Amino acid sequence: MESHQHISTEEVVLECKGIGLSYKSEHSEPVEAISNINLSVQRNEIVSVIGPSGCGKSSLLSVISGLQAPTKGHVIHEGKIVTQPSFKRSMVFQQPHLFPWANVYSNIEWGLKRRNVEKKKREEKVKRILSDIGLSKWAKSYPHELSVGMKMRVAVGRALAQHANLLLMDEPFAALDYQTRLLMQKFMLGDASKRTILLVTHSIDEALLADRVIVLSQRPGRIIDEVKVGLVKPIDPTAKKYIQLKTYLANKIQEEVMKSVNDDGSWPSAVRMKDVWKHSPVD
Amino acid sequence: MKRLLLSLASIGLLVFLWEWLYRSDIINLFYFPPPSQFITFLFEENFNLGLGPERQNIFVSIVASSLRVLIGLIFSFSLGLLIGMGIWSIPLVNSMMMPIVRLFAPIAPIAWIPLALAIFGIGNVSAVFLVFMGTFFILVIATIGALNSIDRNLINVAKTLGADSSQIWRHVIVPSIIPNVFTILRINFIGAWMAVLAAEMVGLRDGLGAIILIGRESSNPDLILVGMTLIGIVGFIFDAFLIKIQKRIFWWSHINI
Repeated sequence: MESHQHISTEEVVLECKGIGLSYKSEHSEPVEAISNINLSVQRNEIVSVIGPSGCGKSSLLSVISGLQAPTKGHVIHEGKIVTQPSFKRSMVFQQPHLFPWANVYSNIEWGLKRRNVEKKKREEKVKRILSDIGLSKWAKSYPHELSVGMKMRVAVGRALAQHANLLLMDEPFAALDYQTRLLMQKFMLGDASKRTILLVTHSIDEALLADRVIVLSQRPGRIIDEVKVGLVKPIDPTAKKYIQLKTYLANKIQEEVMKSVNDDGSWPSAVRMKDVWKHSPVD
Repeated sequence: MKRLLLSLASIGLLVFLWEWLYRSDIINLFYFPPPSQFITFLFEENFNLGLGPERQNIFVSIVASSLRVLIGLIFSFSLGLLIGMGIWSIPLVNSMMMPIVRLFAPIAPIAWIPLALAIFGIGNVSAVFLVFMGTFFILVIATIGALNSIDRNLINVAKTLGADSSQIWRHVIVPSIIPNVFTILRINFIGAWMAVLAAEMVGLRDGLGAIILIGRESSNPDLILVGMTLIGIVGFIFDAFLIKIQKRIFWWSHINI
């Protein structure tokens, strides 16, 4: 492992090698959620994954996080095969999922405390993050006292506090109002960002905030396209290149969606995370 | 404040009607002396009730009954949680133990009185045993129910934050289920309270239940009504205390995030 760090692959933070995930559904045959995913993420790179709904985007993220073991292939993070979740791969889920019995401060501090990070260091870290996400005044508030946008900010803060070298984000801004979404996108994905992020989204605009966009097919999700974005930040949504990219991606996804509509006109079945969790052991 | 005034007013109205009926000749309320009479009786007796060696201070009776219930509840709550979590986490034990637990749960606490007296004799252990048996199985079922409906997402979040299995139990699972189990405890408190009073009437010679029994044996309606009133008031205070705990300590049970 040691020598591994010094050769040219040093910049690769994450690698997925031939990942596939199938799960058994109660009422149907085994379902293949994702198939043969190969991708890599470089340090300080933002990669977004986009695709039709139900194509297995969230499944892919849960495999990368280590919450779900892949049925084929493996994930390599920092040169090591992923076998279980780790704080080194922070995750922001679709919903905030804050601990309702803990206040904002304790929610952000939670992971650090479990890992016995020194109290003084924890305090410094949490205070800085509170000010970053603009919630210093709300440190003592409980989740039920916050708006949806604020809760999501806490969830992002909690993930950032981990000091992970890879941030996994599963449609984190989808539930937010327009204004909060813009601010969060700017904060997380804006030009000053020096973070390694793998972002799952269904918004093409959001996907274009990344350095690279990966397009997944209809279920089972396979990579069907990969687009280097290379836009100057802050992004000008009227720029010709932006519009070209956006149109290209929109067409790509639409094509994919239409392909999967059944002959009788009925909709395709989608992967639901509820089913995926149901068939995995608790611990 | 308005609600408190209304509550007091409704109780006041009941007492007023009662007093008025007793004094009028519409019906004979000899066995139903109103508060003015049995409270006076309580003062006249200097808060010591009963005859001969069984005579005891009213506050001692209150404390005796309350402690029996409290200790029984503490035992059943903590053991119910522990055993419930144990049963739930081992699938084989779960399927073996659940039928037994569900068989015992519907047995009313009062139904355990004869066995309790036979096994533990007349004494505090019997009373605590009754409260325990009356609530324990229900709390085991409640614990398992709460565990089955636990929010998986919180566990996943904890895992990605680097928590190990024991930390997940202590810092995610237990706080998730405790409020729900406590609510079930509160609902079943009244059953346990009744069981202790019944036991005090049947066998134990002290506590609030015994006051009623002594009243019956000595044909003293004042004594019976003092006992009944105190049972109502103490039970009410106990329940209010449990609600307070629920609201102050386990407040997040009814909050959805």
